[in-house]
Amino acid sequence: MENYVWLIPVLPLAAFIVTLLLGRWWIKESAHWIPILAMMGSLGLSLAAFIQIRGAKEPVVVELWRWFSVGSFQVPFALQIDQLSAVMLLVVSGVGLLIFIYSKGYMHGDPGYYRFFAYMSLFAFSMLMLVLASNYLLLYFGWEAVGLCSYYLIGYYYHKPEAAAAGKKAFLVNRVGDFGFGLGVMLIFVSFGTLDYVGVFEQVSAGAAGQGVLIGIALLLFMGAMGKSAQFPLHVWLPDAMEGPTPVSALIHAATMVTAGVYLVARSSVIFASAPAALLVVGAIGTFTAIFAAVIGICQKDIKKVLAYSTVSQLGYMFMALGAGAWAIAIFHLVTHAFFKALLFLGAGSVIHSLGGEQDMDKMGGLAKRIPATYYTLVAGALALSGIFPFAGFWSKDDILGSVWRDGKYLFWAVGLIAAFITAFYTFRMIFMTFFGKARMDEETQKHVHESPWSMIVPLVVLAVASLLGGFLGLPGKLGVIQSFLEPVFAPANHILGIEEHGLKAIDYALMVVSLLVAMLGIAFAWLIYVRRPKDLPLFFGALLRPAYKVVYNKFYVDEFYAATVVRLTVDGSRWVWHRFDEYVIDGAVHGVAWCWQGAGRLVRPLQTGRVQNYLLGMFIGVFVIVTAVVFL
Amino acid sequence: MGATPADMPIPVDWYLYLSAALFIVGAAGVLMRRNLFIILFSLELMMNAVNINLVGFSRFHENLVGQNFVLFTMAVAAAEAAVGLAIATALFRNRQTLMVDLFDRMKG
Amino acid sequence: MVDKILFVIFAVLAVAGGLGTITRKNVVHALLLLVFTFINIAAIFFLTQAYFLAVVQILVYAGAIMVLFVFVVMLLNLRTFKQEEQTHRGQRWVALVLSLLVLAEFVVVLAGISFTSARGGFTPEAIATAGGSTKVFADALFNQMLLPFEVASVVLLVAMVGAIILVKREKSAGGTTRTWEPGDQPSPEAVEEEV
Repeated sequence: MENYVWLIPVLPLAAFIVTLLLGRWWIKESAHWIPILAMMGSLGLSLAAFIQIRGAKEPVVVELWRWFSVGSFQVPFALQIDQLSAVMLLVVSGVGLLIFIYSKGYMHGDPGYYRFFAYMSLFAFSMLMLVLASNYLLLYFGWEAVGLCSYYLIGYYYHKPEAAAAGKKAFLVNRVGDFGFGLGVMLIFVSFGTLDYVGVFEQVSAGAAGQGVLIGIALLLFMGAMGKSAQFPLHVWLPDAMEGPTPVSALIHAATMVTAGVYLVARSSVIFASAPAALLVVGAIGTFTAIFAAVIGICQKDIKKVLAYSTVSQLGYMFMALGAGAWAIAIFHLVTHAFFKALLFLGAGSVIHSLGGEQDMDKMGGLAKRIPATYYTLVAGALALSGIFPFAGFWSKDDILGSVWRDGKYLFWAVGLIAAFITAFYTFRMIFMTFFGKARMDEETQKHVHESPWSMIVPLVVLAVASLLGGFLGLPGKLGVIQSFLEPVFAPANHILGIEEHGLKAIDYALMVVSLLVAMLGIAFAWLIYVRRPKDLPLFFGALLRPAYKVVYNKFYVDEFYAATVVRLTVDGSRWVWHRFDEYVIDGAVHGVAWCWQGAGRLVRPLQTGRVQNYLLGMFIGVFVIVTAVVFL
Repeated sequence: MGATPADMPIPVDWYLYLSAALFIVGAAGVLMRRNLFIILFSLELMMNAVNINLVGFSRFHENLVGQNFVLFTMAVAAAEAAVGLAIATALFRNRQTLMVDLFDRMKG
Repeated sequence: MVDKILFVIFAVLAVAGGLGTITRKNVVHALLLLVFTFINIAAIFFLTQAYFLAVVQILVYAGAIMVLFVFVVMLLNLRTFKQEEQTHRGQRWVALVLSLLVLAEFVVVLAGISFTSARGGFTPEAIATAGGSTKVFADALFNQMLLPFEVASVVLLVAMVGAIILVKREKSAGGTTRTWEPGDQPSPEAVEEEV
């Protein structure tokens, strides 16, 4: 394994370089081949690694070269394979490959075709590096790199000012989180003298640092996770990121990049387990975000925005699980979410494609019979997301709620349950508004409604199957395949928290039933409003709750709040500095220096009269001075 | 008034005082007069002052190096006078004046 | 004793001549006073038993250099014209004061020095026995100082060539430089002024 593991990230990197350099003149319309082949290669190698690492007790660290070696600061450029990174590798390369194939059809004819694939390959490289890193510094490198690719890809349609602004927003908000992350990494080095996972976790388990330090590190790392995984209050960039092409939204903002935060916390499970206070914060923020985003999702009109807020909400669920110490379950939900959320995004992209670019759900409707492949796969994804038995989402979401209950956080459980209801509601609201009822789009678009090409449908089908069957990987308790697979990685953390495996008891069954009922209620409610009485009920509720509706529709005014405070502060502050400081002080100093020299010159110039006699006098004076000095002093 | 060789009738520092006086007179002339010729004359005066100095010491130290040196300074003075006059001529041709404070093209 | 008196007389005359040179308005007067100074200096050389040099002084300085000056002065035919405004009045006062200061400094320094002779053996008696001052002088010149002697000749050659080149007339007709002929009156704009 040591021989080939470095190829996994390098193949997409090579694809990036080749596509970027040669894309404009040579490859053009065939730009998708090399990245797709590269991703296939990465997937194959990831599978191989996955099989080889099964059951290993210790991670395999492959050092590629000596990266930083400055005195006591030793950081190697090394990759680490353990069960956790193997799972992530499969998710990234597997879902990534499907999305690449989908993009062939979706992005067909776009002028920047090669640029798209180049950046997507670069992203694949970055994400794989992030997941394969064996130390926090390399992780940080991958972290920043995926942020950069996100910026590129969100602003892919760079002619549109909204897209450019969205890219900028994503990058800046992430920067806020990364600031905390960076501080956390530094704190780790200061406390433990190393940045390698193996070294750090050993020391933490042995109790090398005090509670305060551990809580500080954990919270700082979580700050980074909040930024990257769009948790409240750093969630504001994700809905805007929908300006990017739909495959980008699927890959980066659903399946992989946004899950980097979850991965970070899971990877640092030992640290978080040793700092229960931080764990509580993680769980609280995750829970709050889950319901907060779900509520906003109810009122969204744009199909992609609904999915964006859904992603934020589901990420909240993952952090909820992490907060309860259910590391493997959070990863399990990450995997299933990757399947059905990517499916939903790609399906939405298919809908948009068939409608010639329409994204407003008010203008959709009646599409079920006309684009059946898209319809059925999307429904599969929606069922999985809503948590309906026996789809993937049911198992993973239920695992989360179960572990939260078992952890004793009943409030979180209740909130999570309500959020599940809302999730089912807005998901099927989306389905019903899009596919059912009368067609609400204009004549022209209606004529051109067509099913998407094979390259787009096949990935949808594959993902639908995965959403249906993927759940069986994570059956609760001792039955869970994924839990036992990941067990060696999380054993130290579980040991610290005192968690053991457990069998299924009656309460677990009861909880499962409850969450299933709640989800079905949500679907029924959506059915009622949007299918049975689509004309009056939505308006009825809208009128009833008008003020609340306004607030929710405007995303609780979080963006406006930021604009009025942080942004305003920064912009005004910069302007002030520009005028006062830069213009007066700095420019003044520079001009002042010039003026001084000019003045000195003006003073001294009369000395040069052009007359030799005057110069001679000067010499004579000099002689006098020197002689006096030498003789008399 | 240092130790003077018994056969040197005039004490050596008298030569030096004379030399100093003539040198200063010459210097004053160079610095104060505007006519180029007068300046050249003052320059010759300064050179002669130096010669007196050299001769005095030559006698004081009882060797001939000083006198030989004077010969050379005279030769150089002659050369310098010739070239200086050539320059004066050329200047006069251009500006019709030899007042040195009117030659200030290099001003500033 | 006699020597000392003679020295003083000649010294005073020399200084007086010098002062006269630098204060005359008339260039020719100044020139003649300078010649007078040179002769007095030659007399002092005689008193110092530097016979050869004394004669050379008269021959070269008074006889050649000053004659050259006379030629050029006559050639350029300067006149004494009316006063023009001093353009740099301060210069003269500073120069005067400075000169006096430096003179005072020289005197002070000289007063405090005691001289020790490095006896070289060429006393007048020794010179007389060796064959006279000229012979001894020539010995030293052509034996120890041969190279400087040759170099001095080159210097003179260079000066000669340089002087010729500097005063060469432009042959090009119609040049803006107005060449000047002997006997030309200075043009009316160029107001000469003599101080």
